[in-house]
Amino acid sequence: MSEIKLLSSDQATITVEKSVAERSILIKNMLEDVGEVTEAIPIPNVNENVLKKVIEWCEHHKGDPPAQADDDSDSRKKSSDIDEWDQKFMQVDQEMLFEIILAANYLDIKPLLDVGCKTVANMIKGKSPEEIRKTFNIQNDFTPDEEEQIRRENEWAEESVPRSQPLDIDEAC
Amino acid sequence: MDKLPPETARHIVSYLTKRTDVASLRLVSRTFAILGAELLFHTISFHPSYPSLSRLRKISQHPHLAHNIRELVLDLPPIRDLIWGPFVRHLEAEGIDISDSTKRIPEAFRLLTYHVDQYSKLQTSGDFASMLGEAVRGFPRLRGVLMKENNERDRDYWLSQSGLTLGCNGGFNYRIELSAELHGYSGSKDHYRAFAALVDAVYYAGCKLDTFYVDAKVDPRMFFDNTVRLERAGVVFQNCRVLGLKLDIEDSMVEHLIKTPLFNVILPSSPNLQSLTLQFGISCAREAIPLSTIFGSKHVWPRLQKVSFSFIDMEDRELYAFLLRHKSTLRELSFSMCSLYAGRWDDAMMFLRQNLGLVALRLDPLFELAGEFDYLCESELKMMEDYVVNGGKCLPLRED
Repeated sequence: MSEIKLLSSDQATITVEKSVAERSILIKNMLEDVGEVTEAIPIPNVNENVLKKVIEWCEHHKGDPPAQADDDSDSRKKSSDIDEWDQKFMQVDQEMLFEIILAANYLDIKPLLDVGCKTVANMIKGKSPEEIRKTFNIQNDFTPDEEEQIRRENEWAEESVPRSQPLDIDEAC
Repeated sequence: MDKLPPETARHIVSYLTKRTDVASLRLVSRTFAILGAELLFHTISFHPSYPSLSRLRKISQHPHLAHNIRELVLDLPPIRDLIWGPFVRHLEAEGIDISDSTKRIPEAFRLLTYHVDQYSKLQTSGDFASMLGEAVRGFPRLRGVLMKENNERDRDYWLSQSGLTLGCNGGFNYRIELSAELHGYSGSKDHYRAFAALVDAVYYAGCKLDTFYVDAKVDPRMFFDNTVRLERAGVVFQNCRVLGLKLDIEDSMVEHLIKTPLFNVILPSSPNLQSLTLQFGISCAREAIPLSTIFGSKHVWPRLQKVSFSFIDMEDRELYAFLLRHKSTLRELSFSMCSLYAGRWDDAMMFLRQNLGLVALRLDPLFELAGEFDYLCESELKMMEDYVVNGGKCLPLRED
């Protein structure tokens, strides 16, 4: 079982099984390009806490089959479809959640990126604009006119035809 | 969250499946208004009515929304709903409650007549085509057009009646004579006009469509007699990867159909075709529509992967010839309500297993017309699917 070392942005060295680290396509490609490495591989965009968390996820999922190219469209449709372990894994404070998403994006770990993004999407579902702002601490940068314009645009996107109520023929005649 | 890179934020938004959630997100901040518009305006549904076409035109006049539109869905509800919808909105605007007001009922009748006239005007004036054409010219990234009838509730009624009854629980009821000659049974002539407007709009806007899908009862005489429009349709279909024509044609018209250039000239001119869905309306006389007449005996679509046939009757040999010509690309097949005039489906399944590398096969009720009429039940069909796709051990036992 071969191991490699990763160097976080805050200069912490973490030793990890090579097959676990290779869940990251970035690291996998790097190792394929340079061959054997003895030095720690710098991961400049990810700090120690986040890197440990990402490694924890990779260790749990190291035996997962590689994602199929056409998995994407199906998983898109079911954003609440997150397995139980991943749901617990994602129960972290919001700052850590976004750090994990950014790290997954940088390290090119698509399944982890998907789980993170699904978790955030689930936090948005069913909320009003004000509740979303409050949940994610987002400033409302609209002028009242702009906000009204967006409201109108949203109405243009959706249209329903009220259904008439059919009467029995005899009743109508 | 608003500090995330746009591609990551876009990834999150892509998991929102309800339009109401996307609409709420658009009202959070300017960044999310833009990101949400990509999803909210990707697919836009509309109906054959003045308010709906005006709405479409309004979107096209706002480029920051219009450039997101990739797919248009022309929803065809029952005619009575198309009249009732604008009528109810008009009543609300005028403050008329037809469920408990009696003295304003004459006023309500006048409004209803106005909306009936508006519907007929849309069908006869050319406004449908011109408004839709104007809108589509404003959608530079349009790639897919779908037209879908949503008329099941009224079908039986329409088949036997040309009149239309509107009503509500409060006792307001009104019978309108809508001419079958103008609108067609089940609205089939209106549906043809909708098809024609779509084809013309896309043709004149010069859009290169990836998908064109019609699932509606379309008046066959109007459809097949207008050769100029069929030629335009040919240009519209030319780049399509996905083509669906579920036309629901009456059996009396099927013979007429094969004399037109649609199947032997227009469809073959789509070199990129990957998925073809064809549905005629009803079983027809054996000599009326041989499969080889539809597809010719030599034509090959070089990329054809998926074929779905409904209500198409054929002989085993012409089916085999068609399949063999596409054996290197064909991976998914579906037969629904199809009949074999000659040969048996058991033999067809053996042919499929031996000659094609199918990954999916879907069989709905199938019939055999040679000798005594035979119908294959669901468990037999499942066994056949398993035999062809998963290498199942055997075909169902059937009497010779």
